[in-house]
Amino acid sequence: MAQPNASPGLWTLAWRRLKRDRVGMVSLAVVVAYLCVVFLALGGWIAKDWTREVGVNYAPPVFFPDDQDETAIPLGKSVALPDQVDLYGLQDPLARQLEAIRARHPDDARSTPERRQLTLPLGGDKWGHDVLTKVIKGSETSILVGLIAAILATVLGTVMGAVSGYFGRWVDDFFNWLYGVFTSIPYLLLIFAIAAVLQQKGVSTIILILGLTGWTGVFRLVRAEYLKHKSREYVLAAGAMGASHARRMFIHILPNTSHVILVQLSQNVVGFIKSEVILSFLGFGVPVDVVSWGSMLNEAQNELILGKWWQLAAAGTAMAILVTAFSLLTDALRDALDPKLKY
Amino acid sequence: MNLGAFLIRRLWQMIPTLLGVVLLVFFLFNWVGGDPAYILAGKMANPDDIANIRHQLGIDRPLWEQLLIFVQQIVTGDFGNSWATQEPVSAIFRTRLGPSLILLIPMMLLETAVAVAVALAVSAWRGSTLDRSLMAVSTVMMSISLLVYIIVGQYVFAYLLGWFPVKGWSDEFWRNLTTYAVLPVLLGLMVSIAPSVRLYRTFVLDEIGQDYVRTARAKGLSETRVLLVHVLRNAAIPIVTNVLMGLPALLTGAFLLERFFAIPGIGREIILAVERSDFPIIKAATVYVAMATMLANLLGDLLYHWLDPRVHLE
Amino acid sequence: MLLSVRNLQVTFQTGKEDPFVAVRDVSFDVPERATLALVGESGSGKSVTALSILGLLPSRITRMGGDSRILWHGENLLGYGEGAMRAVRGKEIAMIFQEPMSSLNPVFTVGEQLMEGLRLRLGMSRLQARTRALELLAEVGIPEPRRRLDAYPHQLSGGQQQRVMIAMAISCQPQLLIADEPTTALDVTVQRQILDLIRTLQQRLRMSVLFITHDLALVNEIASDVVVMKDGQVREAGPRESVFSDPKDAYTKALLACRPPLGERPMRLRVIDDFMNGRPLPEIPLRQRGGDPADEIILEVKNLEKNFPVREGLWRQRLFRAVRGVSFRVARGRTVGIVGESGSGKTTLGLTVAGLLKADGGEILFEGESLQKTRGRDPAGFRRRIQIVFQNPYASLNPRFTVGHILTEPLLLNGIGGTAAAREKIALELLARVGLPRDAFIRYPHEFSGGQRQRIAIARCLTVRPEVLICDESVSALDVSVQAQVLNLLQDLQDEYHMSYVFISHDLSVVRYMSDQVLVMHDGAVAESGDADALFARPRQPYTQELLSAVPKAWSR
Repeated sequence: MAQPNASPGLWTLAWRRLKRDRVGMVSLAVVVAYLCVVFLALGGWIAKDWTREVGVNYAPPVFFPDDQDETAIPLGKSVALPDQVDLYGLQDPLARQLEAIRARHPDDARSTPERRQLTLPLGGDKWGHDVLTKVIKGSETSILVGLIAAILATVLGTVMGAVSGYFGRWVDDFFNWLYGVFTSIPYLLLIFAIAAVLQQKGVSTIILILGLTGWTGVFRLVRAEYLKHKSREYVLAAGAMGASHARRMFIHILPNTSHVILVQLSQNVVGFIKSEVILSFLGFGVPVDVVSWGSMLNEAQNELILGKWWQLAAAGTAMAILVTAFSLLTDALRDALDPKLKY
Repeated sequence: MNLGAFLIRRLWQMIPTLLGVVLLVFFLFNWVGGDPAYILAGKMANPDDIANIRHQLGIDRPLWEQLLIFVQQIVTGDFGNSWATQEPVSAIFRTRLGPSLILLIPMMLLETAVAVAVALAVSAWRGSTLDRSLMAVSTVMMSISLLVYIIVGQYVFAYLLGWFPVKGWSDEFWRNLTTYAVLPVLLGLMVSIAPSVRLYRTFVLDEIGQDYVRTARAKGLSETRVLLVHVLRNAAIPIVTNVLMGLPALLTGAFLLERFFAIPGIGREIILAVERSDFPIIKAATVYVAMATMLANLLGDLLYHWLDPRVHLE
Repeated sequence: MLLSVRNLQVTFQTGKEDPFVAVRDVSFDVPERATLALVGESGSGKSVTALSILGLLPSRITRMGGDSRILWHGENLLGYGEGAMRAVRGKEIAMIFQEPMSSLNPVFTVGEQLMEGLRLRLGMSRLQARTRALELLAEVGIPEPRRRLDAYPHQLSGGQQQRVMIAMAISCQPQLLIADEPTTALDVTVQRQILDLIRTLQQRLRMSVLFITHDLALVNEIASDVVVMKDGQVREAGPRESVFSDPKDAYTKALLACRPPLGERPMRLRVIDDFMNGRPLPEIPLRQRGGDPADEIILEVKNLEKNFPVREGLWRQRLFRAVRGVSFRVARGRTVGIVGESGSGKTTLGLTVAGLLKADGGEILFEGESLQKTRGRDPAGFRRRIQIVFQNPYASLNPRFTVGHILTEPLLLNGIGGTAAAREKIALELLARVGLPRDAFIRYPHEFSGGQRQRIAIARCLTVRPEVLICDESVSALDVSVQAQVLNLLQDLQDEYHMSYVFISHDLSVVRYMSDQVLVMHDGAVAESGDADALFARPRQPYTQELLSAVPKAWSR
């Protein structure tokens, strides 16, 4: 009590606890690194030209050059693939994509034959696109979708939960009804239904679908927090002092539920990235001229039968590392922000 | 309150929610979605064809009349025919439910049994190296996309090693259960076991922290008895509720498995319908799965009350 | 000697935090067929000591000191393995806890839990165990034991739950019963019954009792020997009579002196500091309390009603009448004490009078004007002029605000002070007034102890210069030594600002000490009211008489 410095607030204390958590800090570093890559790709500084066919078809990764075999189609020949990939009973999902890309970049593929590399850092795909570039571009799409949709869903859920929990009565009844409606349709089924109805595809469409359907988890928790806090003595005292409802809701209670909201946001990012990957994999997600982890996995499932495992490995690993880091960061955040520790 | 009154009350409370679902689905398909006639008629349609299709579908009528038709469809269970295959929608659901259940029920039972056992074990040694490493493994397992599990699993165990059929289904129950469903069930287990273990572990740990556990120990009971009788009986309350309420989500959650392994279940049917813009099937699926969810929730509530003597039916 | 604790040292080590020494160098003996009381305030290490005897502390984070010994019949329990320890638990040493509700397993019936020990530990058959369980329930004074055997814990009252816990504890006829704050969670009348039961059983079963409590008055009733603990160490130990009549340690003396005496009313209560600095104690003059017909009535409550809806049956709702027809008057500068057991409606009454709950009937008049009619508009600032101090010091301050923010916000909201600098000046003055250092202004609530937080809450009320202060169990969550300090502060503030208090508490001696008038509440209604001294000296209603007779008789001093 002697030193006159301002005492650390709860956020400072949480940050200090987080800094002591080695796993949490490593996860934070990984997440920040990914975000940097996304930012650079977004600005066009890296991975700008993922559609360029820089390598031979199915160019193997540099560290496994032996994997290059006779299935690699030599320079200059037709890039049409043997039709044996219908093992899964699907039509070749790449056919449409190929056409679209061809249509958009007529010079790239045909007229200017350039020297193609035999190996690429993480290998190449069917057309000789650099998988590393694709992974970076795919990360950009998947992470942006996850992040923006999560922010949208969290803001929606927080506002609705706050209003519902704080005011109670018919307001609460209404939002609870809405919650009941949205949760009685399983989440994936609901976004499938919306995806089926919205014929135009696009990154913003997925963000909207995920954001407008994913608020329920945040809503439930924030509502419960507001129910709990509105009868806490510090809020009652603020009321007795003449604080308005808005002031009690947003200046007094909101900061005290921020740990719940932050953890939910972080969980939603992970959940939405996973959902985007599934949607795009099935072809209900990003359009064909956009690459995401999901569309890469879609291409990769057919490549695997040919023994070309690198696109699958690259997209799968890139996603697994980010999601692991994000989940561990969420756990670390939950521990660091836990208000039970500091009273 | 007695059981009958409770049931009546809860069923009564479901009506507004169901109404909301119906409105949401209707709003989605008859308003947001635009004119399905163009989808049906294809790119080359002439205006006459379009008008004809619009009339057949009833979407040239006023919105309220369409809503009435929709409600009528729900009540009678007659959603007409699939736009893609002309098969009656009700027949599709009837025939696809069996394969889905053959996949889902073993998956649910196995998952619950394994997850509870592992959760109890790690809780008994909480904080130990076993606990920490299992939790770390589960975090990594949860982070790998389920697509990767399925693609790699099918490739390695069916295609390369030939332990299981790559895909397929038969008409015989036992053959399906013991041959075709095995790999999908195991892969589904791989995906769902990690989150369940983590969740059940928190349920068990919550109970271990309770005062009555200290009382049981002070009575001189063995740690095994404390865990398997006192703790498990309490932790069973959230676990059972959780399993039951997760059932309808499982129904659609297995759609990727059904699709990859060509199992003619409901999930695969829904994906096909989304791909083909087959609206009657999607509409019917959404409404009926929502109903199933509500019933499962009610069942979960009932079970909850039955398991927990503190809670009265209300 | 039945149990000898020697040089017990318990250290907790969680994660990478610094190790925390909860108990250091504690030694005491429990003779056969005796009752030893372990007394201390929160954080004194008394419960840790008790749990370490049975080896019930979480082993992963607990370290025992190298020369610690817990000798049971001369054998060191700390050297026992888990199996050997289990043989002692329940059978030789049994234990009961503070919260009977949570200490019983909620999903098993009383009978199942009683019979479990009998069958597993004593090898009885199902039938034998059932018969014995019935006997045990009868022995601990549970009416209709046959019916209670199949009841779940939540279907019993708190007192009955604790009786079941006791029945379980004595089922294997232990030689030592450890009772960890067994009556703290119970109402005063129930506390009396449980205390009597433990005393009777101790004699009848010829066992020893290790009684752990924070309440010295209870010790005086039950113990033959006393050990006083503070901060993990023993401060004083000896036979009850000598500790009470001639305490040697300054802390023990302070503990004995800081409870409000039932017989008289000194101007202020003695606090720990008075004893710790070693100076001779000055005489404290007595204070006169009571009413004066000439007093100005500032607040009048007339036939106040407050109901809560309870769902019943299929559609019907029943009203639970929490407050029924309560009337009282508060004079300027005086205190009305409201006393009652849990569920008597006293807290609901306080919240309603403070305007935080809407009354369902009756009237609240402030200076003769009805508060209900001014709701929403509040032109005369009536709401500002009634403030409330809550029970829980940990929930009553916003943990995300600095103390400065907490104190200046009401000023800002009520347009007091004008500039930020002026508001800060007012806040700093109030901090000094409630006895907190200046630099508290920039600190967050989590850095303060319970007593300090309660001072901050009082300062927050003072910012808006209230004329009526409602104290809802404001000192109940505090240790007795801190309680005395806060009570002294409230007295001083009343003298200085001439505020009126509505002082709500379950603690009869505190209410008597603070009040001019007293209301005894029972089931939402007023059982008896009147002048504080007269009511406590000559209670007329049977309920009040029962309540008063249940209060542990304090030592004569």
